[in-house]
Amino acid sequence: MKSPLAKIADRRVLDASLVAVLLAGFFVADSFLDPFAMQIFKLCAINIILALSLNLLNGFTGLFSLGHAGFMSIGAFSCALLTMTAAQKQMNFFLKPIEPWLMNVTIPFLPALIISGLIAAFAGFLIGAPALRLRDDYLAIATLGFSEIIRVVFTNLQTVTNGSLGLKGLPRFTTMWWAWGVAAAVTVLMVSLVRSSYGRAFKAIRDNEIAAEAMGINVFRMKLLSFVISAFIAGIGGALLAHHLTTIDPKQFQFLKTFDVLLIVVLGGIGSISGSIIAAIVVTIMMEALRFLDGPLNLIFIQTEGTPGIRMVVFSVLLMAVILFRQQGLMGQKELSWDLLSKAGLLPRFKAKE
Amino acid sequence: MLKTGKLTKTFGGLTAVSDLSIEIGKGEIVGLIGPNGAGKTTAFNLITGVYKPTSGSIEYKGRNIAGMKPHRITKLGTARTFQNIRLFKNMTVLENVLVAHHFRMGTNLAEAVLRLPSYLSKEKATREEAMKLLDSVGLAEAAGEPSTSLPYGKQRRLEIARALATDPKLLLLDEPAAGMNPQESHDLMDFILKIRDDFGLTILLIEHHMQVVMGVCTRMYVLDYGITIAHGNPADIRKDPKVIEAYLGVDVC
Repeated sequence: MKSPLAKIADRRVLDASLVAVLLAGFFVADSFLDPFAMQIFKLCAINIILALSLNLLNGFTGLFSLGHAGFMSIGAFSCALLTMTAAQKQMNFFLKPIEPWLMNVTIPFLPALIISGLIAAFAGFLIGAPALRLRDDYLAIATLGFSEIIRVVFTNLQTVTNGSLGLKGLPRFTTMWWAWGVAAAVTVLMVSLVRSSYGRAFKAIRDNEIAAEAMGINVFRMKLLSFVISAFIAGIGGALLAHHLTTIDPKQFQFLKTFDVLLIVVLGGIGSISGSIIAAIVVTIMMEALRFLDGPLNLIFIQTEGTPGIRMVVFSVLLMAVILFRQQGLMGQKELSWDLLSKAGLLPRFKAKE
Repeated sequence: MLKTGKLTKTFGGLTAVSDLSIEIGKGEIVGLIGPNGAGKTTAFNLITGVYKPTSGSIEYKGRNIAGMKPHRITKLGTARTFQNIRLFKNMTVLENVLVAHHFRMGTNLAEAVLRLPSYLSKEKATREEAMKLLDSVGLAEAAGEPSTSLPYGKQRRLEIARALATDPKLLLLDEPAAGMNPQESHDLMDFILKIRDDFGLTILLIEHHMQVVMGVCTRMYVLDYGITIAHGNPADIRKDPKVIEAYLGVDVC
């Protein structure tokens, strides 16, 4: 029989070896992946960040929000404007000059990333304060509307965002270490948030709002808190995406962008952090791997000339299959943990919890 | 402790509760009975802030709480259970109780997310307190189980435990014996008297199960169509012709 101490040691050893394997994997990826594969690898991390932020709302607080693209674009444009040099801005704003006070702001990437998250969070506060008085589908419609408002405003704010021309030539700050480093940090913070007293309050609101309120939880404040945190993370995700693509324009952040993230959350499991992570990686890779479907196909009987968008049909079918046969998604509300693996027989059994 | 004055609530043309004036002293167990649709649960919802009264006052410890938000009323020391059980379904028994501790923990978001020692010590103390509470209501062994896996009677008991975790002075129980067999309701009566003494509570109770009401309540109010038709101790209520009429109907001939 193992002592309880040995059991803890077991988990610690497993945790430590997981971190070591991941780190080694990143070093290998850093030196062996070709530039194209690297792009996708980084995109996986960004999608993890975005999916986790949406899952906090949809999965853990039970708020059906469809406004993510809006917060992403706020983060993306804020970070871009904060980091571009005056010369770069001058090159971009050739139709109308940029607002003078924005011209000479150039700060390093890390503070710019945090500030753009804060700006997105502030926008989340402004939008959440009225919208969170609504529930369910009404909230979804309201947030969707707000995110479109943000897009239209950005398209017309020529002197700030350069309008529909967008911003080009952003510094390529989002390296693999930045993308995956932030993704790891967000994951860790999310896990500890969900496990904390605040996370329990969020889940209580999701499960039964009236009972949560009767237990002394300020439901509106908690919802707003969750909304603001989610907007903050979405803003950071958007900023990383901007410096990954190096070209942004308001049109990129149409509501379809929100659905890409929602797809990941639903497939992974609404209310599961590990589900979101797995689904983000799988979906991001599949989006590229299935690109051959868009090209000319030879299915022996049917030959096509190549129809752009066929690969999206695969995701639609996948989504329908999930909704029909496995509504809880890949992981449901469960988390992938050493305990779960040992229950499934993939690891030797731990001693039962005390 | 609790005093309502001419409390009235209308939904459109329907007057659900009309001129309800009840008064409960410290340590009392008072019953609120009446046929279905009499407005009992509406009265509860008014007292706990789920609905705003159309008119009238609600005084708790001499303070007017009419129209206050439910979570504020809970913080002042009023807790309740629900007629149709409202547990947090995807959470464990222990977590259900821990949720009720949240507003008393006094943590801030930063220390909770960063798991600072100050938060961890509060979390540990709260867990110990919650386990002690579960132990005192006989649910300690089930602490790690999902709340919905409990048998019906224990789910009701968990609802009461969860309400107790908010550290109330006044406890409102909405049909705690609903769906219980005679043995379970008998246990429930002992349980209600026990928590009243252990936690120093004042209890207002809605119940259809007459044995339970008559067994634990010192006084009771009878509602019918929102109107208070009788008020008094169990023996008087049992004989009151108006009450008999409301419950059994009156002979036409």
